[in-house]
This record gives sequence, C-alpha cells and structure tokens, in this order.
Amino acid sequence: MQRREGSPEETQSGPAGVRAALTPDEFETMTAELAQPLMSAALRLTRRPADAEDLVQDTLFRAYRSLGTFQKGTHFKAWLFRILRNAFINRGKREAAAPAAMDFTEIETEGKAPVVPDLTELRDLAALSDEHFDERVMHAVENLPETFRVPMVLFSLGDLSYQEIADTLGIPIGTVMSRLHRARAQMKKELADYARSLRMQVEDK
Amino acid sequence: MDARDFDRDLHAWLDGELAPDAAARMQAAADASPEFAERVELARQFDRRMRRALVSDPAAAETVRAMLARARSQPEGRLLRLPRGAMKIAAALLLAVTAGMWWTCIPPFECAYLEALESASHDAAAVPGGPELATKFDLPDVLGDALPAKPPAATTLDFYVWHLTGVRLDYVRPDGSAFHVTACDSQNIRPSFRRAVEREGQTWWIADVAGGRIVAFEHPRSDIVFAVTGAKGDDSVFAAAKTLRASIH
Repeated sequence: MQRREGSPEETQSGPAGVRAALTPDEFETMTAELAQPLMSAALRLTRRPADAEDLVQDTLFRAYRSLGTFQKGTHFKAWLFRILRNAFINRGKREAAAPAAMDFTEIETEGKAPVVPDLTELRDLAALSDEHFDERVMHAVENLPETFRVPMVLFSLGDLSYQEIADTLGIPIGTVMSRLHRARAQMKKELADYARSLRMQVEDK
Repeated sequence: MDARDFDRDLHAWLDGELAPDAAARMQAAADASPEFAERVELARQFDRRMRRALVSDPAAAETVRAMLARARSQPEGRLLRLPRGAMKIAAALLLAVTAGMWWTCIPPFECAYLEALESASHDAAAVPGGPELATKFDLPDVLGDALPAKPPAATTLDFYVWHLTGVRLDYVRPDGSAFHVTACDSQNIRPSFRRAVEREGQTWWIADVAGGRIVAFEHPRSDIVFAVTGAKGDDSVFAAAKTLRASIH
C-alpha cells in the first residue's frame, strides 16, 4: 500500500522535527475552509441535521482544547476528522468503532467478495442525472451500516488515507480497503437499482 | 487478472493506495481490456460525483463559522469539560478528603466545640452577672498564684444546633499575664475525641484554635466541661488547667 499525499509522516516540516503549534486564528481559518466536508461528514454519520450540528460543535470544542497537540505541517484535515470521529463515538455510538464486534467481520474473514457489478448496471448508474444521483447517493451513504459508513465518510469527506483511517479506527489497513470496497459496491448497487427503476418507468410510458 | 480481482482493487488503485507493482498490474489490465478501461472510467466518474454530492451544503460555511465563534469563547473551560469519569473520580476524592479532614479535625475543620469554647473565652457579648454560675460550676477563688478578675461573665456556646450556657472568668497572675477559664453545662456533648489526648494519666482536649491555646477537660462526676485558654503554644495554659482540675471537688 502507498500513502496518500498529506499523511502526517509525509508532511512534517521544520528543521530537526521542530514544529510550531497552531494559533486559534490559524485554526479558525483552516477549519472554515473545511466547513462543507465537516458538516457533511457529521450529517452522514449522525443522519440527523440537529445531531450533526451538535457533533460539529462538540468537535470544534474538542479541537480548540487540543490545539496544542496539533503541529503545523501535519495533516490538519485528518487531525480534525479524527476528532470528529472520536466525538461521534463518544456520543454513544461506540458500536461504530468496534471492528471486531461487527457483523461484517465474519464476511470479510470468509472472503465473500461482493458481486462484480454488471457493466450495464454501471452504465445505467452513470446515466443518472445529477439531481437524481445527488439525492440517491445521500440515501445510499446513510443506508450503509456504520462499519462501512464511518470509513467511507472519513475517506470521502475527510480525505484521510487508508492508513490514517486504519489508525483512527484501530483496524488493519486491509480491513479499511475491504470495507471501502464493500461500501462502494453497496452504494453502486442501490444507485443502479434506482437507475433501472427510473429507466423502466420511462419505458412503460 | 479476472473481473473480480480487478473490481476488488479498482478503487484502491484510483485512490492511490496500491503498491507500485499492484498499481502497474491494474494499469496493464486496463490497457489490455476495453471493458476494464470502461470500468475505470465509470469508477472515476462515480467517485467524482459522489464527493461532489456529499459536500454540497451551501449553508455549511456560515454554520461552522458561528460554531467556531462559540467554541473559541469557551476554550478555557477545559477543567469543566473533563470526561465524566474523571469528574466523578475527582468529586469522590474531594469528598473523601473533606470527610477525612472533618473526621480528624484538620483545619479548617477544627472541632466546633473547641472553637466555640475559644470564642466564648473572649466573647464581647458576655455580660456580667455570672456569680451564681461561677458558684454552680465550682470555679475557685484562687488558681495557683492567679486571682480571678471578677465579676464572672455569663456566656453562651453556640455551635451546630447546640446553645450551651456557660460562664467565663479571667485569672491574672502576679506578673500581669492572664488566662481565661470557661465552664459550661454540656449534657451528653463533648469535644471531638479526635482532639483528646492522654497526659499525666488523664484525658484532655488540647488544640490551638484561632490563634489561642485551649485545654479542656470534663468534670469527673457531672456534665460540666472546663476550658482554659491563653496564648497559642503557651505551656502555662496546660499548667493552669491542671491546677484548675486539681482544685475541682
């Protein structure tokens, strides 16, 4: 596996490992730039707008209190999303972070891979209008079991590398890869089914 | 490479998460198969559309700015935002330490009875007119070489829910130094046993309270408690108390 650009180890800066801490102003500027993915990730995790706002607020409180632990030059987004994920877990959703306790661990260890999607299905999916795609993909993410949803959100919205997700969730990197693969497969299946139903409606007319 | 293997590693490859040799195999497979090449393009398109859809929240920036302002206004509240478990442990420890200090009469949890006795020894509200009480409590007319500065004063010991009637009489030594004797009717109430000490075969309550030394003892056959108070650390206070105790019939 390769590391993606922006991992903490790759982006450390400064001579002899000396790195400065983040100031509150810098923190606010950097966080404001991540407002959309942060809010979206919280919404995908909690599934409810009110809970999402609470989660982001909690994340920002925690981040402020932990400013001393972040050092310039490391992956800010990954750091912030790790706090988001921990805040989410602490809000009573620990099952999302218990890798060994999930139903899908058994499937993963048994090596039952998802069915390879048919090219026709994938083409139907690609033919979906942006409006329909956007609407359904939200549902598709929210319909994912938390085992898959959390790594998917951390990857898609947090831009965390597979290794960073593995470190954050305390699972092997291979499991991250497997869960992201299954998450996408499930989402594609749901979207493809939706696309086919739309096409059939049109054909019936 | 078959379709299953290709599909399994497709997104990891596009995510840049495959090792160089595995990525090279994926690239070779896509180059060799129009179907795989199409799958690559469709996967790229799916990821691009998914990310765009997931982050499309136009109000997010404003919401997060407001939240940042709230978060910044309370960063110093970290002590109040300790994990609940830590808060409970801290509260339990504080309670245990406080109870321990109270139980062992460690300041500021000095024995309330002795504090009241010390306070009564210089009670400005005490009023003359306690000769009867002095007689009742059997206070001597001479205590060693010290003489009483009459008249005695009636006083009250107030602590917790108790209000004990007492009398105070000051004694003056020939050198001009003085000490106070306070006696009170103390039915079934005594100073803390944590302040009790054995000295010269007898039980005493001795403490330095509010800048003064207090030595107290109980009447052997009644509920009267006597106290002698003087300067803090003054051993002559104990000597006076011992003389007083010996004089009580």
